[in-house]
Amino acid sequence: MNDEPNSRNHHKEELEADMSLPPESPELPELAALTARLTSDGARWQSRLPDPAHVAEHIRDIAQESPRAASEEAPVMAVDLTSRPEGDRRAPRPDHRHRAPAGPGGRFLGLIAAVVVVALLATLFLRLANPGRATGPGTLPTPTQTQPAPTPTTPPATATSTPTTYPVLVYFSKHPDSLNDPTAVFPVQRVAPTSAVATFAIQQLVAGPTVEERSAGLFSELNSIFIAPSECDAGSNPTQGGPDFTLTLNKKGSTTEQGTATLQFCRPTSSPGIGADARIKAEIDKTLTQFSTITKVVILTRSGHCFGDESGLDLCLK
Amino acid sequence: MHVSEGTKSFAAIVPLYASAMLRVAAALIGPAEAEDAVQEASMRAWQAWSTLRDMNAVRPWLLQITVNVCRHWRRGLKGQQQAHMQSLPEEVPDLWAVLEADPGTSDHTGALDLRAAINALPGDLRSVVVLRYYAGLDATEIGGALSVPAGTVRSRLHRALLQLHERLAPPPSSFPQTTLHDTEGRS
Repeated sequence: MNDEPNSRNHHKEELEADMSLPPESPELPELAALTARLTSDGARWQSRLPDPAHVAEHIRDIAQESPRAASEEAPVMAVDLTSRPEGDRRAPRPDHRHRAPAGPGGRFLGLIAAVVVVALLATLFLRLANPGRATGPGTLPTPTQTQPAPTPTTPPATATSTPTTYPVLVYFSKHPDSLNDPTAVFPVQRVAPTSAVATFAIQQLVAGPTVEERSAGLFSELNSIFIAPSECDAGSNPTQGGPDFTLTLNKKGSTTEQGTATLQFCRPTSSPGIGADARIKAEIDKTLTQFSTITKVVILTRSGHCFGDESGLDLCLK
Repeated sequence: MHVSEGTKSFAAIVPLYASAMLRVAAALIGPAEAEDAVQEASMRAWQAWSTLRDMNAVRPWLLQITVNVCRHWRRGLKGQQQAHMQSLPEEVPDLWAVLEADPGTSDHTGALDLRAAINALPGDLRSVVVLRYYAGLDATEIGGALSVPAGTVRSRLHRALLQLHERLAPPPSSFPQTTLHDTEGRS
């Protein structure tokens, strides 16, 4: 179906106009036959492509089926799906997953929680033993500036509260909610063994949800987009590889901007698709903006371009 | 209302360029995946629609998005292949802008030879050839889509044509006709 008849005519005219263009500078006469042959084969090739009217129909559906696209609301950062007004944002659900139910299941969950606590304590111990390094092999971000200090807005401490740990929230996507709304993210608690809480929180995002959390539907595609090792400096311990990302506070790219954090990936990435990009951006954005010193987040690829911005215009830096 | 205006303008304008986007995607990643890539590019365009200030720039903007999506598309495929072929990273073929043999023209030896010769070109030359002759873009549009100056596109196209001409030229016979004519002319 094509309820916009002019579009089809336009395609035809456009194609004819393109094909009637003279070859690009065939200065040598012997190339004229070659360009004619290329033009002829190109026309044959194009005649076998899918019906553009069918594709046009799908494009129209995109706008009509997604009337609440973030771009409608955001004047500049339109590609950033998380830029919707606060009132339009889905409120994070309270995290009930860690509330131990009564009965044997509750005891089992309690056991898992105890294991997690032990693991966190072990991480803390390793970190104190190696103060020059971040934690976790292969996922070790090196903050380029001072991390935001934990604020009273951070969630209540869990049983592992000590003077040197800081509770943080990490926001993951969740089946099926985030498949329908990529900006829907759900918090889980982690305990940062360092005051570099923002870096720790993103490290936890890269590491992904725990087995228990995955069984509850939580997921993140952040780790799956990396297609090559880190290209950042590995620091004092090169055998562990460089970090996955760097996090710089009060910078929009290379420009100073108070309240804006720039996260740049150290590893080349490959986008699995628009939905995954949007979910990753929502996870990072929500995880970082929980800290009062971060009000806006810019995410850059390894090459310094705006993550998820296929227009090539780097709108997140504008 | 702003939302409905944006929706209406997108639904009215972008489909006009579906054909061009489809041709570009088909030339770069093949007809089989072109429709999906255009769908993806359209989604990205929709998300950034309100940032587009100059409606005269819609076509180059959409084509650039399409090219970038196709680039990611191929890079992702290549990345997946590399993940499964760790011992052969050097042998992974460059899948960008490789023309498929068209089953409908399998008896057309000339077309197959031509496409084989195009596929044998270096990637930067191959991409301008397929975008020019198989996607139907002009040098300025190709330059915009690939983020290179139009002059560079023309230069690459010229080099590509010379290389294609050389590859497709018939092998010299042992008694070229021109030589006989030359001999006759001088005697």
